[in-house]
Amino acid sequence: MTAASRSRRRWTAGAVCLLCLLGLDVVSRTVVADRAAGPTANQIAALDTAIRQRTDPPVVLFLGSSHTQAGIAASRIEELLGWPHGAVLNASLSNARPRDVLRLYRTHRVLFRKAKAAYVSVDVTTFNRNALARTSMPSPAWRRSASLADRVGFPGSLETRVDVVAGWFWNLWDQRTTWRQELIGLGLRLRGTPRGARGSRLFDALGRPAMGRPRATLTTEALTREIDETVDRRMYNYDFDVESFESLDELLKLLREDGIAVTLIDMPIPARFRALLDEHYARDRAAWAAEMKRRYGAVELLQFSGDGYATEDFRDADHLSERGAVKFADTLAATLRARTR
Amino acid sequence: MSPLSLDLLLGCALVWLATRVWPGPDQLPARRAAVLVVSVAMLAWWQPLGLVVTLALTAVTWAAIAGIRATPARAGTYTTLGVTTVVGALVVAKYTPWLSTMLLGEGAVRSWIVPLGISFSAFRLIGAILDARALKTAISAGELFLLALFFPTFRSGPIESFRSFRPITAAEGVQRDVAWAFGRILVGLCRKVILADTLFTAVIGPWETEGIAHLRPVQCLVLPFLYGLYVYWDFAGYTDVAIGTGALLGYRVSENFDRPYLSRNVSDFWRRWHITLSEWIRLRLFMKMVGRRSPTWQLNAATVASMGLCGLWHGAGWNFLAWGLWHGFGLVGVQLFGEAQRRSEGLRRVVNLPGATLASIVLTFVYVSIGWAMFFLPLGSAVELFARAARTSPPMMVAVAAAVTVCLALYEALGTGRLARVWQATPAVARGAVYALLLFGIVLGRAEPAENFIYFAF
Repeated sequence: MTAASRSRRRWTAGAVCLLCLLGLDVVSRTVVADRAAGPTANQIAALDTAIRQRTDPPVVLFLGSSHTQAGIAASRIEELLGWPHGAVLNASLSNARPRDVLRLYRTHRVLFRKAKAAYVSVDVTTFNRNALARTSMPSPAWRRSASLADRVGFPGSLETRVDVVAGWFWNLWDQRTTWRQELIGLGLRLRGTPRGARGSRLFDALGRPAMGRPRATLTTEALTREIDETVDRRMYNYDFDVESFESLDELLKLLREDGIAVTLIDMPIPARFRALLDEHYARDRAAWAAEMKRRYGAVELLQFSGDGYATEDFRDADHLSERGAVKFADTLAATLRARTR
Repeated sequence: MSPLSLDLLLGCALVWLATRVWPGPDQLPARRAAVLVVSVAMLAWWQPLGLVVTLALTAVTWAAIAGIRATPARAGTYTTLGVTTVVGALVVAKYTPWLSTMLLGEGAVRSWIVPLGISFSAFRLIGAILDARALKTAISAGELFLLALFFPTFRSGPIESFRSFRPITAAEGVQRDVAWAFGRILVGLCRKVILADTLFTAVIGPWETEGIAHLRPVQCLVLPFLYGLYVYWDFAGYTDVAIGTGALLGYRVSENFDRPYLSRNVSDFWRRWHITLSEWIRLRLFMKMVGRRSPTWQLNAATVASMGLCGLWHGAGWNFLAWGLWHGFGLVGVQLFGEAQRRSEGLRRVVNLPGATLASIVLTFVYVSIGWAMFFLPLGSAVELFARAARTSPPMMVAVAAAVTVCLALYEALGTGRLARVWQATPAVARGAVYALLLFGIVLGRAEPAENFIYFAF
């Protein structure tokens, strides 16, 4: 082979390689990135399986993120109200945004539409498009909507920042986790093994889904430290997430169409968390409250205060612990009792 | 330096730029200076302590070499001084916590930082002193410092010597050009990210987390083989990246592997596995322990002792010593078998039977894999693993043995030569698609956070 033909072969191979990668990038931007979710594919599949295994529809449905996932003790509420097992369903997912909740509702609409009431959790941090779950590596969902400026200003290590900036240019790199999840899911489907086969074992004794191992109780100092860090992370560079509002619009529309009474709930958070929000992010909170009123003024919003909850009632900066969930169940049961009377 | 790490890419880009600015053969000193500056910067970024210790030891080595050259009559003294200093530094830096725990009990040393790349640097520098004395090679300070600090090989070898580590000549450059270098790096990343990391995250990691006591016997039987594949793909992957990076920077880096799992016996294995280390051990340790006419017992004792030290070089722990001794005894076994073969006609006939080659490859793989269990696990856990593996049902054992044999037979039949011919005949368009697919695999396979190479720990 002459040097010229070898060089031609190399250039051809290089060009084809580049074209293939560009093709994959297009697929990544148009199809795969759209499937990037806050919750992991395993978590979604496990909850899907658990819901599909139910035969009786729920009477009351709780939808939302990790705040409701950890804080709604469905079984305890049923017990307090003397309702049959399965009447209250906690269908929440950690890291879920309204978009993920909407997708869950659409998937199980046939079952969910038979519920009498639905409680959808909302809070100021969920509607921040720049909220960070962690700074070591941002989630695929964050990457999906992050602009170049968001990425350059990402408050992580240099390596993480370069990673997220590189992801703006090369979507395949950016959404590698989603690609992986999708390919694993595809492989499992081809093998005939459904993902998330944990099914009904997904719920703990309190009726909370996928709670994992209980965390050791934090000291007041540790909780304070965690709150200080979490508030800034969740409120980082506050900017309305239009997609979240649109998804919530759509979800509420579907619930109304299905004749379900909807209530929005803002879960209890530690008093310090609320105080820091008021102190440092009052303007953002006010803007959010105004927007909520403008969009959902007709929908009841129940805001639960964290007053009366002790350190051990919280698992971390903004999630109720098992003890806190039991305490909150008393409050919720009283509310539900009054409404169903 | 993890695979796809930015520091590595940046370092390569800077030096590659230097090769463009000073391309001529007479501009080698300028290029070398550029490589040296970038290497120092990279080492400082990775771990300043590692840089300081290596610089100090290199200075000591340079002084010893200068002494050997200036006063040949006292070459022995300078050699002893230089080697003792480097060995002493290695022992203190690497084995203090282990020795203190043994002598003074648990918790005697609370925190200890091992200088980065100390094991490899020490062997490189000892080699340089011994070579300077034995071969009387003329070495410049720049060459010595580059040998010690060259960043692609600094952390995990190969263990280069003056003879092996040199700039790529113009004739070699035709073959080892930029495309070749990138191809080699791509192969290394595939081995590391697609094969090794996937195997670890999907199988070995979860099994280790579960704990040996909770594994089924067949898992315990298979685990040593998986360790073998994992360490090979990881380390060979690292070496590919080092060789490719070296070529990009205009330097020839030695090969370290030659399809080791096709070895016919343990001795053959050490000619194909971590070649630069086994050469170092053979030339600079084993040969110093034996003479030309040493009796067999002395040769065998020296073999076991050398391999024991080789094991300890990998890490301060009884399991590493056991791994080294296991290979030492394996080498002695090969030696004894060779002698028996020379004496017995019947044995020679058995060895030449059809299928004997495959049988020897399988036996060697099994022997080496047993060693990997000791290498990766604390001794107690390794013993527990073997005990549980022994409880595997006979049909399952046969199935595992058959699977291992079939895989090795296929590997041998395919060979890299055949694969290379197929690759040569592949049309350019298909090649491009394969490159894209491999890059896709590397991106998807990259663990989060990225897994470091195993040998970085040594």
